[in-house]
This record gives sequence, structure tokens and C-alpha cells, in this order.
Amino acid sequence: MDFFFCFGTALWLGVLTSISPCPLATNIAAMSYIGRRVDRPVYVLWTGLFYTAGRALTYFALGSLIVSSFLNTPQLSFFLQKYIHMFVGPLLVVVGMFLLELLSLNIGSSGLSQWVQKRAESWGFWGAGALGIVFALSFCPVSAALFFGSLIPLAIQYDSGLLLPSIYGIGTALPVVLFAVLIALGAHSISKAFNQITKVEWWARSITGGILILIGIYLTLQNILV
Amino acid sequence: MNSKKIITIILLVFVVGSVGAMIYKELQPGQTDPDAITADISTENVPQNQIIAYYFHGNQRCPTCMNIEAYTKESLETNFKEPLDSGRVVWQPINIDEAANRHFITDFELEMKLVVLADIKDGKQIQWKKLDQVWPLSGDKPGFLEYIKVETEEYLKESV
Repeated sequence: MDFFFCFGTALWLGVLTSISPCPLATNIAAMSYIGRRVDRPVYVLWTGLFYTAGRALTYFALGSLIVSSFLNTPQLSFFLQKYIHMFVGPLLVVVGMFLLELLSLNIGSSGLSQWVQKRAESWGFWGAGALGIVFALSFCPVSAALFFGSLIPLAIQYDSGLLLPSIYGIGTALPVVLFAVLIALGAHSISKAFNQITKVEWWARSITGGILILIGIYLTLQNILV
Repeated sequence: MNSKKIITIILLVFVVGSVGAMIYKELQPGQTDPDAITADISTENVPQNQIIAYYFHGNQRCPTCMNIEAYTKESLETNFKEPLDSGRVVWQPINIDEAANRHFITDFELEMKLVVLADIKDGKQIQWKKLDQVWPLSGDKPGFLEYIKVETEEYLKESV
């Protein structure tokens, strides 16, 4: 009974974090990134899983370090809220530029270039995982209150510094991944019906790049001007 | 030069410039915010025995954070007008992103932005309490106002 209560509470706290207004900008960025390959729903699903794993792994690491008292929680909490948040904006602009092909990895040797092309697909997954890690670390006041104020005390009380933070991480990714997959499936069905998959994929990628750049500029200006 | 190159250059300049601006901003000594208190709690021009209700916030103010601050202030002003006027209870919002205020993070073991009641006797802080229910109650204004009232009343009774 206790196990299910803790499991459910951790998951619910994660979902609450995800649907609260303060991480809205980064959630839209994540949804756009995960759902951009509307031509391949399985790819979208895998990207979503990597994004979820990135978030779960981050909270797993943070939770285990905090519960085992290796880290000074107050200092860590404010460090993450202040500094990681500062660099998410510029990072999103750069990721958006890659998606729009404004930036590309120009590698002279043709052999290396082919190697890069071959791995571009798996890099998309790893990119989602990395995005999950960065977004999980960029705490806003609400997510800091839910993670440090509610989840960590629960994990300490039940001596579960590994499982509960991971479940919380899955909870924070669930709504984002669910929406991304639904949007991608919807776009895939429509584009298939109209035989326009390639065109729709190009549009989806371009719109994603544009959204990431706009959100990146917004978050950057928010940090500089405040 | 085509438009794609121009956009690329503009965005790269924005990225590099903004990272530089943030680093520069961070390295600057803290600017003085007229509302921010940077002095230590034991000052000479206030009554020696008092309850200080701190609200700790950062530069970024989310809607929930502003509600927490506004509700706390409202509850104190409604329920503790006389102690506030006499200086027995003090309302003190503090920006912990200011360098001079960062010590409060370790002083009160703050993990998040919240309200703390501190009991000052003879100019010395003898105890303090974090009101961490302000976050769960932030969506319930009547419950929040009552919570601040009850906690402050209890603290006032204890510190007589």
C-alpha cells in the first residue's frame, strides 16, 4: 500500500510539475523537438522515450546525491534555478539553427561525412535525451518547490533516493511525450491521406526549428532584461 | 550574401552576445534594489523583540511566486495591523539573487522561494520557521491567508 502511495505521489508530482505554467516554454520546445518527424511515428516514440529517460536519469542522479547527503540541497537548488536556466535560451537557439539547417557540421573527408550522416538518426535520439537532461536541470520556482519541497522529503522519508526521483522524472515527461506523439500521429495520418508526407516532414522540422529559436530568444531576453 | 546567411549571422551574434551579457551581468557587483534589504537582521533602529516575516524571491518572478508574496502581505496587513505599525511584526521581502542577500539561503536552509518567520529577541535571532505550506496552498487564497495568520499568531504567542 505504502509503495503504491509513494509511486503514485511521485508520478503525480512529476505530472504537476509538467503541467504548471512555469516550464511551459521549455515543454513546447520539447514537444516540437520530439514530434518533428511526422513522417515516422516510431521515430517520434523513440525520441520521446529518450527524452523521458534523460529526465528520469537526471532526477535519479540528483535524488540519490541529495538523499545520501552528498550535496548541499539549498545551494544546489538555487544554483540550478539561477545558472542552468540562463543557458537554456542560447542552447535552444543553436538547436533550432541546426534543425533549420542554418548551421551544419561541415566535415571535409567524405568517409567521415558519410559516417556523420549514418549516425544523424541516432543523434536525434541522443539529442532528445540531452534535451531531457538540460530541461530537467533548469528548475523554475514551481518545479523547485515540487522537487525539493515535496519529492525529496518523500524520498528521504521512504529512503528511496533512486526510485521515487526516477518516477518523478517519468511523470514530468509524460504529458509532453503524450502530446508530441498524438500531434505527430495526427499530422502523419493527415499527410498520408493527402500523400504529402515529405512536404509535411519538411514543414514540421522548419516549424520546430522556428519555435525553438523563438523560445530560445524569449528565455534569453527574460534572463538578460530581468 | 543571401538571407539565410544574414539570419545565421544575426542569430550567432545574438547567442554569443547574450552569453557574454549574462556572464558580464553575473560578474557585476549586485545593484541596489530600493525594496531589497541587504543589512543583517540585527539593526539598531528597530524594536529589539520582533517577528520578521521574510519572503524570499529571486530576480525572476513567476505568477505563483507573486501570489505567495501578495497573499502573505495581505494576511499580515489584515490580521496584524497593530503589531506591524509598532514594529513588533515586520514584513520583509528579500531578493536572494542579490549577492549581499545570498547568505539567507544557508542561514535558513532555503531550497525554494518561500516565507520564513524569524523570532528576534534582544536583537538576536533565536529561532525561525519555514512556512513551506505556502506552495501547496498557493491556489487556495482563503486557506493561505488563514495559514499565515495561524502560524504568525503562534509565533507571536511563543515569543512573548
